[in-house]
Amino acid sequence: MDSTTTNNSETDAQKEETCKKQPANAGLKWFLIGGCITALVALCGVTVLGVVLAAQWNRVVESPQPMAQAATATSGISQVTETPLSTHTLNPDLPAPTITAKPFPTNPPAPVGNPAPDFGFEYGNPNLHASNPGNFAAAAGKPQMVELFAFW
Amino acid sequence: MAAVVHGLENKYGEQMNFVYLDVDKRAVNNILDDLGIYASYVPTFFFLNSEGKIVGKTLVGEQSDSTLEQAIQDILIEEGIFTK
Repeated sequence: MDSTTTNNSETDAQKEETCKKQPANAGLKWFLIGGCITALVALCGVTVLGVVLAAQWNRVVESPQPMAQAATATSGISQVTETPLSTHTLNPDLPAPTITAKPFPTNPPAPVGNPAPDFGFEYGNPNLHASNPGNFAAAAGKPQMVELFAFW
Repeated sequence: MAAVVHGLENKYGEQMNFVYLDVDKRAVNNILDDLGIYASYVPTFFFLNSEGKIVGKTLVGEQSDSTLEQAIQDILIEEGIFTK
């Protein structure tokens, strides 16, 4: 009887230990599961990102192609560029164009011996003459009116 | 201006001398220095009596016929050639 009781009590202790250890094992298990999921998601994200970057890189590298290739890449544009330019030929029946432009006007040469131009006002005075300063004497024996002038 | 002066010269040429000095001449500048006149503007008119002294008003710039004739008559009256 005592042994049975002892066995029972040992079993209970083991059960208690098991029960105490279970939550720790379960936490570890869920931690590992979560980590795996996170790793998978991260791996998928990295893979998708890599694919997108690779596609972008290919687009960037292939874009600077020559204009002819770019034109021929599109069927509509290639048809336009492949059409030869139309050439015009002169119609021999049409009259030659006449030049209607007038030459630059040129002033007629001034005649030689032309009289002085008429400015509309008195420009200088032909009657203006200067006295000889060597003959000037302040005391001339009669009054004098002296005009100081300049020819300019 | 000179035409006016020349017209006055024909009118009063017997009573007084009319002298026209070109200020660009060195000899004229010497004369003006002796008389104590500085020609800052042309034309300039001044009058000398029979003894060579400056009399009357010095007229600077363009002058009318009547102004010049009045100045000439004043000088001639002052000299006793004309009487009022």
